[in-house]
Amino acid sequence: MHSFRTIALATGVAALCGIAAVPATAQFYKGKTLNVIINYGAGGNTDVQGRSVLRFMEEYIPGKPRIVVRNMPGAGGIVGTNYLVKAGKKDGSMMGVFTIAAMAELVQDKALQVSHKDLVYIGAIGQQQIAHIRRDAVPGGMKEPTDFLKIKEPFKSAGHAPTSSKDVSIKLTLDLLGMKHDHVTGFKGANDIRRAILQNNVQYTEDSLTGYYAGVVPVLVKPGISAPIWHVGVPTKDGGLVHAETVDKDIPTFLDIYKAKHGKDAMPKGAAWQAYRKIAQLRQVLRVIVMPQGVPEQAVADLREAWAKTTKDAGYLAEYKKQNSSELEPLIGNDAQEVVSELLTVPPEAREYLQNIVSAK
Amino acid sequence: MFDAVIDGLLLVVQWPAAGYLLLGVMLGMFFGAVPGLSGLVGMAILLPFTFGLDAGSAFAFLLGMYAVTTTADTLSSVLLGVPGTAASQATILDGYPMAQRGEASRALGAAYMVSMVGGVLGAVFLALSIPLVKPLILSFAEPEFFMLAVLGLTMVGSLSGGSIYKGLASACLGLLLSMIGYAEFGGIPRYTFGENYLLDGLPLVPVVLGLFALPEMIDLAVRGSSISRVADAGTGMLDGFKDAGRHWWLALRCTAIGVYVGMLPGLGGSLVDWVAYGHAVQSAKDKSQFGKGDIRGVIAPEAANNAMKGGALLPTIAFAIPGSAAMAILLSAFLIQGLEPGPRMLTDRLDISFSLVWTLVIANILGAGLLMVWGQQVAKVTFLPGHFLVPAIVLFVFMGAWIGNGVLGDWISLLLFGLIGWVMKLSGWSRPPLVLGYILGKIMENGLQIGVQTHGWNFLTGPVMLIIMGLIAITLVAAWRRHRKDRAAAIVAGPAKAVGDAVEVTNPGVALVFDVLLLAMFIAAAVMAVEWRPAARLFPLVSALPAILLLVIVVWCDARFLRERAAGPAEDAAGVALRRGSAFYLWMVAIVAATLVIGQYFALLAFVALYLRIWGRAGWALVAAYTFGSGVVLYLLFNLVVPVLWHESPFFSLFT
Repeated sequence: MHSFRTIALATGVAALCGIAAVPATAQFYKGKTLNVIINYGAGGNTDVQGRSVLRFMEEYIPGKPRIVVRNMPGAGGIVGTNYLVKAGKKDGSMMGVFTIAAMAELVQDKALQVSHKDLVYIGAIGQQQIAHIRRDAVPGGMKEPTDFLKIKEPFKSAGHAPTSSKDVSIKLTLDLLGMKHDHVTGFKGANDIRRAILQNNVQYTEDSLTGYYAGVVPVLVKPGISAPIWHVGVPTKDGGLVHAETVDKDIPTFLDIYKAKHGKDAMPKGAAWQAYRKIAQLRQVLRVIVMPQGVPEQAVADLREAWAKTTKDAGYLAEYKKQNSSELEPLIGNDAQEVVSELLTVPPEAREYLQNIVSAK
Repeated sequence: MFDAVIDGLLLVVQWPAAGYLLLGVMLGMFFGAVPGLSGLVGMAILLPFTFGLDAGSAFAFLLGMYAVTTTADTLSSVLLGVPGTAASQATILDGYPMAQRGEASRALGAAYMVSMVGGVLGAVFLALSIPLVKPLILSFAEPEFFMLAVLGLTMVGSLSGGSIYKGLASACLGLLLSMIGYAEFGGIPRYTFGENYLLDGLPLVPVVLGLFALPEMIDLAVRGSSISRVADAGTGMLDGFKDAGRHWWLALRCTAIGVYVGMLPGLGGSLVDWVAYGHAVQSAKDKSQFGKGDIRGVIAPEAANNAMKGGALLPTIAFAIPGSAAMAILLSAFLIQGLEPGPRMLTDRLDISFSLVWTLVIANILGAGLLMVWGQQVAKVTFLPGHFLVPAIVLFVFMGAWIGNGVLGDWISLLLFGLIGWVMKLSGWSRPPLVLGYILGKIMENGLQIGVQTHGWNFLTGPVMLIIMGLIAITLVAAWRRHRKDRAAAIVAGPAKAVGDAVEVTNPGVALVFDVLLLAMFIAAAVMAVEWRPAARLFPLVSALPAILLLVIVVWCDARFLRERAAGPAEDAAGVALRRGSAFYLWMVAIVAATLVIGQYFALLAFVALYLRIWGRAGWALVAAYTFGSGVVLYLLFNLVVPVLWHESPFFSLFT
């Protein structure tokens, strides 16, 4: 396939706009278009963060390609993921900025027709998740996070869909702590859950760090309606969990709360804990920059380098902080690929546990 | 408070904010007028440009653009019968018949006047309503949205067509179509037949453009004459302004409807024009001209859809609860500007909040003013020969359907729903309830599921729910009485129209086939659903079962109409129109086929050239100039302004 811009010139169209055939150079993207798929709709968190990444990354890609963005939402990011792997061109002209749909792969959702292993990872952005509850759901009020454990009556937790990672995380963590709750799912967005919490129709949910600082803090925490309980934490190689640097020091990890309940030397075990660690790993690669497998090596190298430079760009870091009210948690190239690979390696009992969580009410 | 009002004004009128506001208004007119684009698309595209701007400029730019999209969208709704954005669908019902009567300028004049007044008063209501907002928003949750959506569908189903049965069945069809895709409740794909394309459901824009735009294009191509059926009715913008003045009380009431319905998160934008239209019909003494070109049918939705913007803004800034995707983007702009949306916006940052109100006021005046200046000229397109208009409309409709996802599946959806829309038009089926059912389906399913999960079936007994159910009952009774009155009038008019339910059917043979196919489809859909998990099957069954009952009645009525209808010259004319319409439809199918060979860009240009030459019998000079101009416009708009991913030929690539 070769450029036919001369044909466009013949129609007079291209001539008017001053484009011309460009000879190939060492810069892979010189004179080319990079089409970027975003697997959520326009205006959502993935879209806003994705467009922000692209605006800065564009400057660092050798040859400065023209970037055209296309939103391909649906089924919790599955539609865009299916498309990029199955129909995405492998000539380097297509990239995805996704919220990873890994939970669908972990529970073997049939709608996901491909594997996340079939993608080449340019980079990733991690983001923690914070659980919070209405203070009046806790007997005697909530002065510190461990007061949450005093609740004896069932409360209502809220999520988006049985297969969403938020719903799975909520059911799994409350299960590990033995907390009684009725789960209400189907809320369209995090804002709808916030409204339901304001209305006291539900009391408990989890939010991404962005959603927590930008939406939950002003609407629910500062007015004294809700309080944070824990954050997911960063998984360590030895099977533990440590406090994330991006989260306030006074919000403990889930493991801290678990130990407050079961004793300071207690350590969760078995399929439930293995499954929990999958969720913690998923948070490390929440947003991924990917290409279909089989793309030219130079394209991958150029884009990885561009992403690495972007993660050090003061302007981008400042903009990320403004948008997300937290510091950037980036992974570059192979590091992202390794975390995803580890995430997708699931012991059978953990997979079964996750599948049961999804199909339970 | 007064200081904040003045500070807010200064934030908007000082340089460079004023310049950005003007630029935003100009862009908003473009995003509103081109079908397929919308305020939401505009917001998503413009947001990154606000990163480096100060708060006053950023909001003037974004909100200025957003405010006028529902003023500019009236252009294609009235002139072409194609909704410019989802919020102007109700305007078509009376606006387009007015254009066909040669009264496009009058309709536009009235629409712009009430859009301006609605937009400005909406902003004022917004400022005055601040104390009311919290209790209002907190009284409505998902179960109430479910019931409000039922009310909206009942209104539209019973108001917008000749047959109440077909209207309600059309709404059920919309609901069923909205079930296509990944069912989040059951965690299974519904009616996707293994296609990745259908996992996210049918795309809204191609469906709407197909249902409304393609049938009008087929009509235009078949007739070849202008949209206006008369040479010049001699009415102008000024008559429209007078109409707006004469019906000021209706405009004011619909403005209030716009503000308060707009405040309801997630629901306002898609329903507000219909609620206003329904109110106009129900409150009118003489309802006989609605749907045939009654100016009140233009005034009501246009006042409401601009006022709605003010209403939608308030929960966004006061509670960080955006009512729509566009408002969610505005929320992002707040964060980018380092502002914290929430109750403090109404205390500490009241100047910023008032600057948003001022932006709405100024943008509405500017936008409507500019359109009033140009409207008279633009309305002249309704007097141009149809063959001259068809290629340009085809370009915009096909590209409008392409913008969202940029896949060939969207063109196939466009063509499929074009065919369905055309058949519905021939069969006396009302299309607006289908679209509204489609838009509201997911909201209704969510409302029903969340209502049952949080409160059990007791969710139906809340005070707000009972009030809405009362309104539904009143709507149905009023529609039923109107329907019986119409039928009695038809019986008096003569035996040919004695079967009241089929008075608008122009091709009864096609109608009967369509009815039977729909009945079979609903039965098949219900049978498939029975196998699914309870959460996944509840709503498909809720929409399919009433539709099956309604369709049995429809089939019986249409069969009787076909049997009693005497063949005559009208039938011959309908047969000719059917054959020529089918031929034109195949031309549009050929665009998709040609795209697979020569790529999208040249396929569209080839259509333009060949249509003008063969259908329009234009001279070569005109063909060349028109095609060249189309090429330039396509390139400028869709490669530079709103870049799309073109479908290239397998043999060469033009834009890589």
